[in-house]
Amino acid sequence: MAAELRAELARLPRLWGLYARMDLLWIARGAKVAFSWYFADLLLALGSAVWAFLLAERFDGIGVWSTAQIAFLLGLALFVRGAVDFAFNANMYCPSRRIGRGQLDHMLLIPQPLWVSIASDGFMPFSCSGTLLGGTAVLVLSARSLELPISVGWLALFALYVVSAGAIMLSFAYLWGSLAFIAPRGAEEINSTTMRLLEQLKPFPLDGVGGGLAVLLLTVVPAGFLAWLPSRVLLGLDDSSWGLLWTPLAALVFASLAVVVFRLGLRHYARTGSTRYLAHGHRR
Amino acid sequence: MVLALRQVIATARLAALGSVLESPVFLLDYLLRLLRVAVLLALWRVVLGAEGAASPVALGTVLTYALLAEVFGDQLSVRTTIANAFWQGSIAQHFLRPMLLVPQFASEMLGGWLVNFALFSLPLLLAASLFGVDPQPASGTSALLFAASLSLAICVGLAFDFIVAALTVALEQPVWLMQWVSQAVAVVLSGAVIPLALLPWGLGSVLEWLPFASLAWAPLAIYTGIGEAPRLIALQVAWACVLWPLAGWLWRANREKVVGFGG
Repeated sequence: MAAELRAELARLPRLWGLYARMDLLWIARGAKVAFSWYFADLLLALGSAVWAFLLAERFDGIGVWSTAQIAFLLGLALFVRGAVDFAFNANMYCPSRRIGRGQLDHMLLIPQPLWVSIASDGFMPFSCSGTLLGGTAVLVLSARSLELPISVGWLALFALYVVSAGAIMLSFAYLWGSLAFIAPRGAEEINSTTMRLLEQLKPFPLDGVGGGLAVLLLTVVPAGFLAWLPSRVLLGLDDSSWGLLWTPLAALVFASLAVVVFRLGLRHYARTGSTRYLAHGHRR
Repeated sequence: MVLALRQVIATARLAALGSVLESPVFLLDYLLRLLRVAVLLALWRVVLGAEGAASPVALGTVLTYALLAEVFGDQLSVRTTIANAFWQGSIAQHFLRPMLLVPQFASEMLGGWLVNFALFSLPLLLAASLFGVDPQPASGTSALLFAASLSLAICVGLAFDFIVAALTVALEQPVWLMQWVSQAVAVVLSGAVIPLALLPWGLGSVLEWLPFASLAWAPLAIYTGIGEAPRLIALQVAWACVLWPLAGWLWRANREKVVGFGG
């Protein structure tokens, strides 16, 4: 079992290489394709996140957060989204679509564990790096403006938070997306709602929204873990040891829950299958 | 005329029942949207402070604006199923139906609206006071003008949707890419999320003249009394007069280039 796991893990970089090559071939078809995908990707991410910055600029900050701090928050939100886009594209981040459309069957047919497909199928480092680069630019500019004391420790913490936030985003998507096992048509687009919800709420500082809502935004819709809580630590607004650990711990909890719920859904799917995919490729 | 109306009603009914009859799971989608409304309203209170003193628009008005934007979300961000039809390849079937293309897609959209309105918009409007929001219009006249402005917003939105569809074909771009770009642009520029009057650097007064403002800002500003109704409605009429001929021309010029391989 452990040997199989090691073998699959060792195979992942090769698969990423293959998918990266296919992605490069696809985007290198022409300047129009390359430009439009890059442009659309960044515009979409900015469109859903920029309004927090616009409001901060208009009102000279939001609550206790200055405009530059809000810019950092926005940059981190974009960076996390960009990292997930980069590695889990092609609806790997929207499992309700894959399940709802019956396309999960394609993944089950491939002679490799499902988790390997999930971890590799959506790796698109060339066509889907626009948001990541945009987020990097915003982060660098805001960090300069805030004169943050960047050190190796700070960068390690930043990396830990990006990985944790990405894991929380994916777990949230798989938790809700598993509903498509039960209702393929009704829940096919539920991940569009969950994604939009996270996208719109994550670039906002949640200080002051009220205890009840804050709890909801750290549990039912964990938008607070994606940029707000990590930014509080990275910007030095929260130096408590608990503050430091909340996001990685939440990632562990959400990931465990997602695995359990997805496996339950998969067990149900094994009995029912999907009736939505026709031989010629159209959905019913 | 009666036949056309029956066709519209039948298509809308089919579209409405499509996803509702399978399972009550779709109701969870409304719960998530409800949570989003609660959070957005709370965020506005944080942004503007308890009194909203720094804002040119009173906090209560902004809250009404934000709530109305959610209640009429479908109508302020018009989206037919034409992109799905391209993507699934079912556009060919649409061409074969004994009904004009625009009424077909408008009817399908209407079906989805009816379900959303009954299960989300209406309950949200009725529960506005629970969120601490007064949903009443600025005046009776504002309410009447809002109805006219909302109709024009839908008209402009439909034209936009067909322009985007025609451009998707003309530029040979992926369906979703064009949809994403148009939505991302519209969300920021239409005032659907932030009232244009609250944008920095005087952006709002410039954006008001663009067609995107006719989609959301115009009806919402009229309802809440923060916009100049005659000018906003005149702009909506002007943009409808410009965009529909453009949509018709673009579509006629490109419809025969439509190629579908299925979804």
